[in-house]
Amino acid sequence: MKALVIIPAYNEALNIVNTIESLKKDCPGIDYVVVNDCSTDDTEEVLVSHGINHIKLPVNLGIGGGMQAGYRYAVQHNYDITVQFDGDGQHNASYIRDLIRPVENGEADLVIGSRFIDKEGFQTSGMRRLGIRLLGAVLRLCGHVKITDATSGFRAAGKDVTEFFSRNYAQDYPEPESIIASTLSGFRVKEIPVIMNERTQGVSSINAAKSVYYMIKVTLAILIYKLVGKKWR
Amino acid sequence: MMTTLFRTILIILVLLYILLIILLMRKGRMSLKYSLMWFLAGLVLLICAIFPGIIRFFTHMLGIYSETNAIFFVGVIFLLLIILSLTSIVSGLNERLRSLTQTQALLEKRVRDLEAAASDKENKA
Repeated sequence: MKALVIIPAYNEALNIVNTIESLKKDCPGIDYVVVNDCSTDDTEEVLVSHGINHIKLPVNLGIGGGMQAGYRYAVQHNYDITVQFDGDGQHNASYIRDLIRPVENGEADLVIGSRFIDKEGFQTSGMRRLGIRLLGAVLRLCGHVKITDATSGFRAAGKDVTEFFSRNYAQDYPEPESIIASTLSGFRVKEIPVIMNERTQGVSSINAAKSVYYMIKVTLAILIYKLVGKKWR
Repeated sequence: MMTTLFRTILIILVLLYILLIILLMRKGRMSLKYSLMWFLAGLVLLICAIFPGIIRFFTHMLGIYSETNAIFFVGVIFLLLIILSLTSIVSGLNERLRSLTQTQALLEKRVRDLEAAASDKENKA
């Protein structure tokens, strides 16, 4: 099956080349596309000078709109599987095969790479873990799905989910929202254990002050998804 | 009880407000589609100011103490509705802008790829 790795990138000039190198080393021959979300640093120059396959958004859309551009690209080029892989070095390319396998075998439609199943590697701060736990509880309550790492951006989606995401994708904090949208739409979501790294360069898009707001917003979003019951498919 | 002074001020303000809408539309700064709800709000306020009997009737029916409060009540309801519709408009615009941005980016990539392929061919020839 034809797989595409989508790498959202915003101001990742320092990381992106390493990310692509590790991807090529661990998954030789896999297709990829970087989505440059209108970076303000010289990410674009780095992408062009290294001949990295990429989409250049003319205005900043945020992670949701950027990923959706990648999903639309995948649909246009008829890929069977898409993998979201962050450009900041947090994700290990060596797990991409594991992530894809359940989709290939028809066991799941959306596969999330979770840090918290085997509890190995970078585990983030205690407060964040608590937040992620809470989100997991909300997801279990509303979506009847067991998710230990709802905010993980390391995930593989089958063809139908990719097509679904290319039409409907949460925009602001899309990771947990896309899980609830998928389960409510009848897709099978599965988690597998992965090991993540601490980011090497740059800062997380979510700082301490924003975390509380993030939690409230995402929880509300999940509840609203459940409440509105919109036909997403 | 609405005093004549208050009614006069209200009428003058509403007329100024309608004038402002017309001015914005003439300058092309407001489209007809979105001006309708503002016109409607102004019209309702104007009618209430000119014929206080309507407001008096509603005030008694709803058990509001003063007619001035009833005017405010009507105004706030209208504002809420208009703001809600604005949020809906912004959401729609946001959606379209995002879709356009993505489509443009995907096309830009295709053009870039086609140009690269064309220049490759040229170099080989």
